[in-house]
Amino acid sequence: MAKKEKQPRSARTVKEKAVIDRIEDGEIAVVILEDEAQSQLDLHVSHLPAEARADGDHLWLTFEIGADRQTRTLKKIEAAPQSRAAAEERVTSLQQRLEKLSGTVGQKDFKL
Amino acid sequence: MARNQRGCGCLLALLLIVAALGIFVWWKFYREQGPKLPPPSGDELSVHVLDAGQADAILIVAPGGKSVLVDAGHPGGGKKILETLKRHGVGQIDLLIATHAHADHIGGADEVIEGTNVRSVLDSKVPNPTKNYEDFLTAIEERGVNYIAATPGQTFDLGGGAIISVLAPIPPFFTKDQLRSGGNEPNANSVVTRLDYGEFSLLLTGDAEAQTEQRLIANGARLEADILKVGHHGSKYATSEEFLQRGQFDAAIISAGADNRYGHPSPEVLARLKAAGVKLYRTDLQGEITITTRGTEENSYQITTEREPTEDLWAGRKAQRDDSSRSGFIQYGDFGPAPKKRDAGNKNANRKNATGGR
Repeated sequence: MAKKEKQPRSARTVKEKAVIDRIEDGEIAVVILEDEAQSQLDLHVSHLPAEARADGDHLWLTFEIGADRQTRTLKKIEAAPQSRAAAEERVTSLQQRLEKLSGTVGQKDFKL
Repeated sequence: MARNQRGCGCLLALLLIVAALGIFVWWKFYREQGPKLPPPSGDELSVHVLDAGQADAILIVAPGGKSVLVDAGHPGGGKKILETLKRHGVGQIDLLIATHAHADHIGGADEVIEGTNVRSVLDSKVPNPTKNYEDFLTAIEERGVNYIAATPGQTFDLGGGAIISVLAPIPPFFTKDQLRSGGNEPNANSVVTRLDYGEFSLLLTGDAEAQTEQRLIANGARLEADILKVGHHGSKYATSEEFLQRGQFDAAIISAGADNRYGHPSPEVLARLKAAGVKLYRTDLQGEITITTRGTEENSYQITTEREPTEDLWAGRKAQRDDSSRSGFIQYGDFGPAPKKRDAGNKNANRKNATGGR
């Protein structure tokens, strides 16, 4: 029986969802990945798509995972406007629900 | 007939004078000085500006034990805040103030809400459609926390004579097109508050920048205070000269990370603070900064630091290059291996900054 030779692994690409949390002083975009660890990348705004350069803009990041599985190279950044619109709707609806539940609208004085 | 008309004119003039006097009295004694403050109990109030890295987290413990947390650090920073609460003997948060929806201010808020009893949350209500902000709101809903949208004029009685007053966001909220190039709505509409306890006062500005400061001045907000928690980690776009003149601060505290790449605090802000003659404290160089006061006499507060600075407090930082500057990789750079999945039961254990491990 012929011995099976171990094939070297090849690089592969993965697409990950991310959001621009904020732009620091108009220059550095703080991008947070929607992975479990909420990993953060700091990218100059010039690297971002022209249509996604504001706080709260959603992105798709394409990474190339190296054959050694140890390196991750960012290859492409794309805007995800529909994802942003959906998140905006969820957040606004949550805010409204919370405010309604608490019944504090118009209240000025609070005793802790 | 002519006499009657003259009489009406005099009465009208008198009414106008009385109205003008009333407006003047209201402006002088309420608008500028704010609501009448209760006398201090004389017991100790403490403020701890935590060393939360490039993030904000400030714990206020009032006489009588009520506690307020102003911001909750970055994602994954909640654990450290919970440990700090324990260290200071704080069993619950009576009010969590989320100055604005950026991850360096509310990043650890969901962890704090899940890890201790938070009774109320004060939010700027300026939405940022990020997962982090959504997690924060979801935690509020799931734990049944009282949600309050910030409005100028609100007061929070902490007991013992300590009061927190809301100065901003001032409606109508700043919109993107009204802001300086590169400015953003969450920062511009930050929750700005002041803490008063007898003779002691502290101004907390979140990430408010010069345009917000200008609006506060125009709105006649009470800005004069003993201590300023400097806006936006010492960004050059905040802490204007006019704002410092209005505030007449004795001391200023900057919360910034020792390894931040955004140039915080900026040399420009430090120069303005120096020119204003304030005493400076920095978490990046001195660790946690603690203020204690009994509020009974003017200037009777103490500020202590976790450690002595090893660098010049007045030397600012320069902005560093971003992650795309990493050499040897295509276009944007290498970001290390993909993060491993966390255990379901250890949700926050692996949160990290992908840029931090270089």
